[in-house]
Amino acid sequence: MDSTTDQRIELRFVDTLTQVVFPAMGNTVNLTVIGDDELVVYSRKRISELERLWSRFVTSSDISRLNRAEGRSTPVHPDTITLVRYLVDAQRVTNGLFDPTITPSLNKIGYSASRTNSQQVCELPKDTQSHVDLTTTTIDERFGAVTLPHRATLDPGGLGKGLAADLVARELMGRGATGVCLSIGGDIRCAGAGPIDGSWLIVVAHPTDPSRTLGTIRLNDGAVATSSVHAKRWFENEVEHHHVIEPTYGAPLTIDQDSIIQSSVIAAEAVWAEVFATMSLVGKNELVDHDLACLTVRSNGSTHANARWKEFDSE
Amino acid sequence: MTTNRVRRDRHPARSARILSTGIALSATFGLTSAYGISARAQQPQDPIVPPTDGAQTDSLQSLSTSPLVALSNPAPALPAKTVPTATETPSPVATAAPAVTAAPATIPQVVATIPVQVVVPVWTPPQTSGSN
Repeated sequence: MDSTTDQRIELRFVDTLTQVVFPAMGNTVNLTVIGDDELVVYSRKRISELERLWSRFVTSSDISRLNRAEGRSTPVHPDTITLVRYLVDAQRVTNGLFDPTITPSLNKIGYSASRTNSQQVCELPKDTQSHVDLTTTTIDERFGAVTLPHRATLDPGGLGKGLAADLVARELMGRGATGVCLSIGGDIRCAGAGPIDGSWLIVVAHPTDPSRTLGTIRLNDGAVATSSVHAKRWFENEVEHHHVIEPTYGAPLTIDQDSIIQSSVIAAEAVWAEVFATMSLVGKNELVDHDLACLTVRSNGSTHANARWKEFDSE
Repeated sequence: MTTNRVRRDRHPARSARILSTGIALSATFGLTSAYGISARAQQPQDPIVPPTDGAQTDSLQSLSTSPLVALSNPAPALPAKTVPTATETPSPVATAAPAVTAAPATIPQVVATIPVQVVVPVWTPPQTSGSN
């Protein structure tokens, strides 16, 4: 009888679902946790901590110090070492279509200040340049230090948000949650049992019309991310820009009549979903050769969901 | 007289047997009816009868075995793909929740529990979109 009592008390904590929305990392965070209330508090602290480490607009962040290091070894937090590994691998795996070294180009076209706090500015040494090969990056595990190639800088961008979602979701499960769905600016990581027949439902936003959606997918453990040229836009010298940079030219991706303007990808980790969504958008392909679940929208309004994507369609 | 003879032929024990049989039948019917009424009265309460220990253990085991796709560190060369949900076993969260309400009166701690399926209509699925 005692063991039965213990089990029931455990169920009480397992079945508490909490959903919160709050700003972080220059975006909106949408967090659902099935577990103890303290897990929500932990999540907010952890995401805030990662933002302080990884934001290129926070002067004291690891990324800002690396960007100012001009080729010198820089001690960083273990989480930042993990981030740098992913950034280097992402550039290599996508043959440079996902390029985390485009910060100079972003600054040049006017994205040099935080969109949520214009007082926070990304300042770089004068001789930095975009589109730098990161394969010679040195990571010293023993002393926790990173050395970037000369003139190289890092912009974690969407990869940072995806990795943060992966890390925090994993940590919440490790702390007793039975289900987690964490969206950071649309990069979403699900883990454990969701509230809809054990699954999580994710709505895919329309790139230009907030009143419409492109459908709903059903995930258990996994992730989905979307990259869109309509997401962050601003005017510089009366010219409208977006934040998806064509690495070779260091300028916003050119959009013609039938270009892909939004790409969503499902993967095991949000960090890779984000990388391949950006690769699809910049590389102008639907990832047919990669056997990844992919949904694309073109500027002419047409949508294309590959066979893998349809396996996750909830409708 | 004939009538009297007949009366004399009946053994006293026979009347006693008839009487006792009648009492026994009445008692049987009465008990059956009483049980039926009792059963009907208890029927609405059936869903909150505590399940067997075995059933609860199964639910707990299922809850605790939901797999988490492991993060790779260092980063993997290529991302592994998720398994389509159609092939996965539905989570028992929804079925486990009623067990919470079946807690006996000796466990007051579970009174404030909110089962997941009660919260479901309130849960708003997040949207995947480009960075906002």
